[in-house]
Amino acid sequence: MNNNKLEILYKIGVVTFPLLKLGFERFWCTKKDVIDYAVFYMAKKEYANNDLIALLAGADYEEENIVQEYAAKFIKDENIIDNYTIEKWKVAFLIEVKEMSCSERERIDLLQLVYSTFDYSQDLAELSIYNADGICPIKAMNELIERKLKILNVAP
Amino acid sequence: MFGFYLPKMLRQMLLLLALLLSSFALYSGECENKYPLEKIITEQVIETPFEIVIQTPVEIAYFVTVQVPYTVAQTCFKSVSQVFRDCNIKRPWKCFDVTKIIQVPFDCTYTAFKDVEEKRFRTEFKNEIVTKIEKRIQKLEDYKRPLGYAACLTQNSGEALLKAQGKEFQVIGSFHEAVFKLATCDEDGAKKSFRKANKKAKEAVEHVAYASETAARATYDLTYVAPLLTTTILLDKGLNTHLTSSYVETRDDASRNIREVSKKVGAVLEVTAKPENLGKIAFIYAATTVGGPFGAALANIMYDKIILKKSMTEKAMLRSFAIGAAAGYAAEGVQGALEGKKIFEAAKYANYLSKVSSAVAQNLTTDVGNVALNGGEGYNSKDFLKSILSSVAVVEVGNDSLATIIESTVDSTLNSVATQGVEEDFNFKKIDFKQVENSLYQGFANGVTRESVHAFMDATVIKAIPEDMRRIDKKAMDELEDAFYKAMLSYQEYQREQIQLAVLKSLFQMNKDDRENLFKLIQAKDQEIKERIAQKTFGKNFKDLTAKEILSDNFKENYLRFNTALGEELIRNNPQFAALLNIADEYGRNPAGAPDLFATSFNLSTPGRPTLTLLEGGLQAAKSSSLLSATLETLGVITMILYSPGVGEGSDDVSKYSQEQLAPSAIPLPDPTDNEGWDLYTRAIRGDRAAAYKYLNRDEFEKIQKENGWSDEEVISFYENQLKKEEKNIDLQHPVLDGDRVGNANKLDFHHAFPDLIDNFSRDAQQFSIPTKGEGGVIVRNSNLYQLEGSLNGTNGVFEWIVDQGSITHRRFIPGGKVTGKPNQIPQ
Repeated sequence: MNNNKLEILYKIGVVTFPLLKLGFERFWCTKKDVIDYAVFYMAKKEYANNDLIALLAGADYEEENIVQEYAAKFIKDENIIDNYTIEKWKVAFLIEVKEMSCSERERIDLLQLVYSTFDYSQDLAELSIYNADGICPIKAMNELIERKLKILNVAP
Repeated sequence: MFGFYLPKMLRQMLLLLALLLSSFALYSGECENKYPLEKIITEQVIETPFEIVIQTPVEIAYFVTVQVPYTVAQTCFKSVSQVFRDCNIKRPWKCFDVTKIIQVPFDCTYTAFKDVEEKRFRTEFKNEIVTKIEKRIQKLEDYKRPLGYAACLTQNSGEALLKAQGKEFQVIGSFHEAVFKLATCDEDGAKKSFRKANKKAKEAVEHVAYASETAARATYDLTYVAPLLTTTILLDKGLNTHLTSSYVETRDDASRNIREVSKKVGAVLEVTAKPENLGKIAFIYAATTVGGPFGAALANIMYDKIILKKSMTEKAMLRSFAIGAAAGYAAEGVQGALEGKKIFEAAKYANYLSKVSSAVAQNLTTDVGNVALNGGEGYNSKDFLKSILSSVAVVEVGNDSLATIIESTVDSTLNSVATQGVEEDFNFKKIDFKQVENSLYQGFANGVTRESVHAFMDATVIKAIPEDMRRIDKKAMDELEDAFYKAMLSYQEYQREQIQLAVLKSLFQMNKDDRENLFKLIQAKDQEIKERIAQKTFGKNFKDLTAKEILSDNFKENYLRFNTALGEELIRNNPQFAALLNIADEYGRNPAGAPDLFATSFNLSTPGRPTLTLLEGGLQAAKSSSLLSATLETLGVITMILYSPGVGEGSDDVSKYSQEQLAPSAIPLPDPTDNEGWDLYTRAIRGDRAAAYKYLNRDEFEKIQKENGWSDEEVISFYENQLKKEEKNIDLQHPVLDGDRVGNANKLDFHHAFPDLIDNFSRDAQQFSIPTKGEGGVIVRNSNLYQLEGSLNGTNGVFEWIVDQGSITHRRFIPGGKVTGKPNQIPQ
């Protein structure tokens, strides 16, 4: 797998179809990632006869929007709910920056991009260098990761 | 499904090994154990699926896919031939389940596996998937080909033709021979030469056949967009039909038919052997030159009804309409591409081969249209060669053609000189030879293209129509011509009105009554312009012009020239309109991208500045070059109303309102319908602003002249220097304009990448100094935040820029935002 963020999400065990669907829509993961996950799903006994999963698993040459359609339909048909997709992706982005080998200055620059990637959401405001709160963006990043992992019931 | 690439030889060997092992296993009785193939593939042959790609001439991949509990062998094909220089056509893979094929020879039929089905091996389920995939591919081909794709194909078909001609120039000798014999009525000799040329030109024919397939594909694609709603509405109105409602149903039928045609690319000469079709082709070509695709469509349907007196169902009519439009689009596309690029060059360098290409291309276009018209029978490359040869003959034979080409060239050139030579002291040295040269070549190119087809029609098609039929047809053709021109005129008027209304609606925020009044004003002014153009072009009153005269190139050119001049003046007063012309240019370069450009350029308004949201009409315009030019015309007429003397006087509230709204910076200009005004505008268009001063500020001009004893040229030179100084002074300077964008400022989503034009308004933004954190959260410096309230895409909000150490680190529009002094607010 070439996707660091997704690897992180697999590692902390929070990957779901809704999470992948969101990631795919926002270009954080690829069609191949969705297909790989579908292949993984096919091995589950209860989905062995599921047409949609079979279609998704064999969708290598389908257009991206078709794959999105399949995924959306599968989530709907199977009533798969995940209320924390965006939180999970935020964690993945933050952990990726945290684990990156770079200077502190560069890490702060990367955090600015993370902040904008999530539409400048309030919970990430402490990452901004233009937020006059006196909080170190790196420290804010570590605290955010800890807080969010707790929400996701994942041990840091 | 996983896949990985291996070296070609190794891949092939692996495939063979896989198949052999499968075969062996099946032969050896494993089949009876009802657990064979999967076991072999999963345990003995491969551990993961693999993919073999043989790259030429058709890409074939074998997939043996193991996704427990399914095991499937697939063979997939895709043509790799359609890769063009400017566009790469991605073709879908077509996959077939070959599991059964492997089983059958070894008597391991599907039935034999039936019991296993419930356990692990489910071939038939995969078949179902394959069927679904094939259906999807079908659906994609039917509905999802974008217009840009078709345009690309059309253009490339022309290029392929040129390539064919360029590469195979050696066959021209035989062509010459054939042409000579044809010209001397030695038909047998010509046939022999044709055969000789045929042999020699095999490769060229392949190129051409490929190009024709490409063009036919384009035809097929464009058929979906041909029956535009407005045109079907018009037909419904004019012929009391219900075409609009049956459009969807019929489109599917037509698309199937035409797809079939595009596959076969067929039977051109066989079909043209039918006299009624010959006449039809001729007429459709003529209609295309007047009315474009719509004209071709209309001509096709009218020909069927009036000349052939077919009793047609609505469905058949719509099909005929769609097919005609497709033919017209193809004609326009190929001709446009050639005229715009290749033929232009061809004329410039008098390259014989390229001239031939133009004729060939046009011939091909006619063929393609005809193929589409007649349902397409088998086509072979010989037929196309014949068609090409006829085109070559067209270029070579007939002094009349040459005369017409020269006439076209001279006309075009004279027009160019005439527009320049209005000045009193006009002399030879003042001629803009670059412009003349361009006009000359363009006229020549037009002449070659048109005449080659006309001559082709005369030499082959018309000649082949039986004498008695020609006589019978004469009267009907005259009636048809008259009906056609009237229908075209009615359509154009309808289209123009719709555009004017759309443009007005988006330009002015006014109530319905006001808008209707302004629309009436525009209509009246438009009529006034038409009267002047009618006098100027034909020396007649507008009402006395025939439909044919109104639709003539001369009338259209004068009308357009007039409105372009008005539009140019508007642009000078309002920078947003400059974007409109950029869009026109952009449209020429990149039809698919123009609507976006249009949308972003015009979805802009800021308080305290003229509001110009030109969306609905603008987007429509950008989607079609003809609509775009019509929009420009409308804008020109609006300009006329706003800026011309004598308009908007008295108690006309609407006009007053418009003037207050849009013309605060307007300068008084001479009436462009006068000679003097016309001269001014032509000068302005050519960028001769200094000379234009003579007309704009005549009193001042004469005063300076008198005071200094200067000649006209010296005063103009004085103005040129003044203008240079002014231009220098108005150079925009601002940190937002001067800095480089870094980080988030380079993001490409809509809210970050709002139009650059808005940066100009940062000079009006409020500036705030904001503390900026470094490592450890310590404030290390201050940056500048600029905030400006405005709207983007019709949504109010705030534009933000942060300039940090000279660089733009933040550039964002926040919908619903206000000026707060803090970045990245979250509006309530």
